[in-house]
Amino acid sequence: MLLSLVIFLPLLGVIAIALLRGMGPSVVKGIAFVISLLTFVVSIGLYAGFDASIEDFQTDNELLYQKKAWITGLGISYHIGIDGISLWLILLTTFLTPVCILATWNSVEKGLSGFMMSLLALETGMLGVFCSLDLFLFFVFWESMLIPMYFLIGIWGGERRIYATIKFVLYTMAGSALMLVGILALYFQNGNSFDYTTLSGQFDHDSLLFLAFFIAFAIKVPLFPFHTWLPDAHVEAPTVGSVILAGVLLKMGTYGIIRFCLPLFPEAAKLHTPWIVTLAVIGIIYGALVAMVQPDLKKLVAYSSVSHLGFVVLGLFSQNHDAIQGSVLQMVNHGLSTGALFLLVGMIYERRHSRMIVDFGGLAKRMPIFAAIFLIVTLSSIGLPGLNGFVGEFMILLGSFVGGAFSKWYVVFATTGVILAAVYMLWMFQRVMFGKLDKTNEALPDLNSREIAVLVPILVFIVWIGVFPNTFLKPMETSVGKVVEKVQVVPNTPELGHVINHRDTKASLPIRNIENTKLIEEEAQTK
Amino acid sequence: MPSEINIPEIDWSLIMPSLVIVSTMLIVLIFDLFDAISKRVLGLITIVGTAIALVVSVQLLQAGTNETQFNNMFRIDGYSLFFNIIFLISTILVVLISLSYLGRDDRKQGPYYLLILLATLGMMLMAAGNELIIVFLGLELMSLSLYVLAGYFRDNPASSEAGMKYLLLGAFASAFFLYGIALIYGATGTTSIPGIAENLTAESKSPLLFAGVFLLIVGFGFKVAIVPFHQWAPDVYEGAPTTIAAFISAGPKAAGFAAFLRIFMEALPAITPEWNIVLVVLAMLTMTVGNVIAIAQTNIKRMLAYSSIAHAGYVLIGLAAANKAGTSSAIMYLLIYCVMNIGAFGAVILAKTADGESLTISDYAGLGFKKPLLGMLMSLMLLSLAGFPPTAGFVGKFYIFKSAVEAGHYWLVIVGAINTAIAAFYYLRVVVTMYMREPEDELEFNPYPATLVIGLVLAAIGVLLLGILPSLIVDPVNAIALN
Repeated sequence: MLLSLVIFLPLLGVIAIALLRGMGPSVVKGIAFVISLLTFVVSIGLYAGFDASIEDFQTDNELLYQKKAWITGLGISYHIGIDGISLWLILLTTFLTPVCILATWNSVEKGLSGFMMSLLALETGMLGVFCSLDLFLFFVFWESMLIPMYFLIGIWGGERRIYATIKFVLYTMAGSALMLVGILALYFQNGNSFDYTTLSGQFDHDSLLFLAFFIAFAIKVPLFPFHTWLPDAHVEAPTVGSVILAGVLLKMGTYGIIRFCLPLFPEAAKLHTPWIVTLAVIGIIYGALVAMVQPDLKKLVAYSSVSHLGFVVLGLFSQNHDAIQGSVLQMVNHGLSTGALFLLVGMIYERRHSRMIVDFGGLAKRMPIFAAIFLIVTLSSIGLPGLNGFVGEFMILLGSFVGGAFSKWYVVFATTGVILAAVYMLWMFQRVMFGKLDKTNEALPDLNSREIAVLVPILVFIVWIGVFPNTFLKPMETSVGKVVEKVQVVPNTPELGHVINHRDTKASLPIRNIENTKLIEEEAQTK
Repeated sequence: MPSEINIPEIDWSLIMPSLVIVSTMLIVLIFDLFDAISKRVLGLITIVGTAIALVVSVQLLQAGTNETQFNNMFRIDGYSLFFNIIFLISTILVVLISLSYLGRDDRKQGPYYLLILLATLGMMLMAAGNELIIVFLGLELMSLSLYVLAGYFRDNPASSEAGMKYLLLGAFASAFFLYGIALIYGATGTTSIPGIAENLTAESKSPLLFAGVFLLIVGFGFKVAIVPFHQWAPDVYEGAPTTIAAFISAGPKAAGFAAFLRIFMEALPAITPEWNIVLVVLAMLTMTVGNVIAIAQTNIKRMLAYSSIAHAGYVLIGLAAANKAGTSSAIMYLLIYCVMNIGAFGAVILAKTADGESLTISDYAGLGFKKPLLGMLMSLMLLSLAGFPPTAGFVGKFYIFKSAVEAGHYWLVIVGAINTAIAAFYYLRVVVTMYMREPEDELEFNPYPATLVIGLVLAAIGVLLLGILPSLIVDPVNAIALN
């Protein structure tokens, strides 16, 4: 029940705003903020009730699991539940939405109630995607979240918003058309059921089904060369549209891969790993190189997303426990860092009405708080140790280098992406923050308290994940382990376990397989 | 030797829905004679009569009726009763959006409602026909009424042209259809639908039969506007009164499919592989041509015409699946389609300016914020036509695709799914225009007519209700589907 509450609370907000929109903008904003904050608070209850030792969905916990007949004639049920992977994406979504609403407090001029309604409806759609255990339900949420996003970009976006929003919708729909065929084919091969939990083991080798799902998700991620919708959508979207897009929507693609592509079609996934990983590495380097030459701040961040998500896909297909865990963590990290970057770009745009790097310079003198926060977020995005980005990227790279299912050269090339990231981010930071202060920029005010309140919670998590990644890694460990088990059991490197996960005792290694434990024992003996 | 006329025993209660419609027609006709009575009452009488017929049909359906009447010529089973419900709901919605559209011109009212009722009766005959002759009778009854209705605004050259064009092409199609019946009779020796199925042995699979079946497909193809027999549709939809365009695109299309499905599923199951492949090709062609040409339209009525061609293609998928799920998904889709399409045309009427109709899509610029109710209703209908959840259009398409996958027609589903994406482009373009573009010039609008808003709100409720709780319709449809 709690889970349903989390999903549909924002929808309640939509209805409330629709009814009370006549009472003025402050009421609309108030409702939206309170509802989204309430959703976040309730979703913390999900974390509290979550039992990390269960690798599967928390079916015994009535709060976190629900199954009810919905369309009996077609074998469809309202079936929701969470595991360690979706938990974090749900919390990321419920966390970012109130942040976004607070961030957009004064920037929406026309159609405020419509804006807030779209944002909340979008939240329901996204949460539904992460919770659905019925393929039909999943598809319903997957498609229905398109409409509010379409309005967010199309109505409140920039100059070329209509082109961008149509491109976004059509790309996604083309992908989901294939996925629909895949879902239907699964239904009949699975004995007329859309139930996710009963699907397993029968389609291991089904390449066509794998591709039907994978292409839909690859478009969403977006994996090179399906990425061309992303820069357009990001640049034209309003600030919070970009935040949600980068923070959550892209994760729906990677989530789909780890939820469907890997566990349902493990053999097919292995078969296709070489070219997928090649595309991921191309995406990492290409995204970084293109980001480097962007004159527009927002476009730079958009292309950096292509690069960062390349890492996530690389890790997901490594068949290695640590790398996959790193990928899931990196989904959250990217949501926080890139979300924060878009917020910062939005704040500077509101002041200067420009996003061109050449228009700035020396801002650190005028806006010290802004510069400080920007620096932390930039470093987090680059992957500075002690901040969140490092943990995720390091786990992905090390895991797939040591235990990856593909050639180490892929990882070597991917690692250059980390260096390139430092180049484009720091170069951008230097051009914007240091140097000579332009006359037109002299009057720019520093961040106000509302804007600081928007950013500080994100910073808290950026540091938290960087310093105590275990808070976040522990609950997802068993669930990731289950996926790895399906794909392939690759012995993990003992060092990695010690460095990253601080696994001191064998008792805290529930999913380590026997070979691996032996490995550790042998090592201990040799010492 | 004096011949004896056999008068079959008739259970009048079974054909009550048709009788109610005929009575309503007579009442309208009589009331129209008296000048003292306000002619605006006629529309209300039509609604009441149709609603009664609807209630009676629902009751018969719930009672699980499955009988034949008139020497097995007329079949009252769940299938025909459910189609009655589709037709009657369509008729009620069309009359609701017509009430304000006809304005205060009294001369126009009587014959208009009379013809609509007559066409509805024809549709009911088509769905209940257990005999090709009855189907033809219903088809003609329906078509002749529609020819007149399409050209109903005599003073308007476009309307007259639409009526003329529809009549000429329609008459040809009817001839093809009749010729097809004759050839099938030649091959099987009967025109009864179960009789054909019985007589269709290996020997009777002659070229004669196939020629007959082919002509039937041509005839139906014209009536339900399947590519390549669709050319009449855009011109007729554009020229005909908007309410009649809504009517033609809904009920008659459903009626055509009712007979199409019944004949092919019940009379010709023996040659399923042969007709199946033709329908698969036609379905692909119809969806793709309809959607691609719709992209290029600037006039919203023409756009809806091409969209309705594409939707006929989706229904054909269900027919091509040729299984129980295919039939029930096609029936369900037809109901959903009728409601949302009439809703879309109703929204077009709602967007009428004070000095005429705003029919080009660019005229809708900025309407979303200026007329929030209109914007919301129009968007809802278009999103449903495009097949986005949580609207009924999504459930309908999903079920259709599901049935085709069950039948193994993967390619058909892939083409259908890609078409959904193409269709989203032009439906969303109208929404884009309404919400995302600035208006070019100020248009004057009349206040909303209450009856029109009621009709649209009913359609909107239907679209959302069936989208969120599809069980309401999935279960009954599954119960009555032909096997």
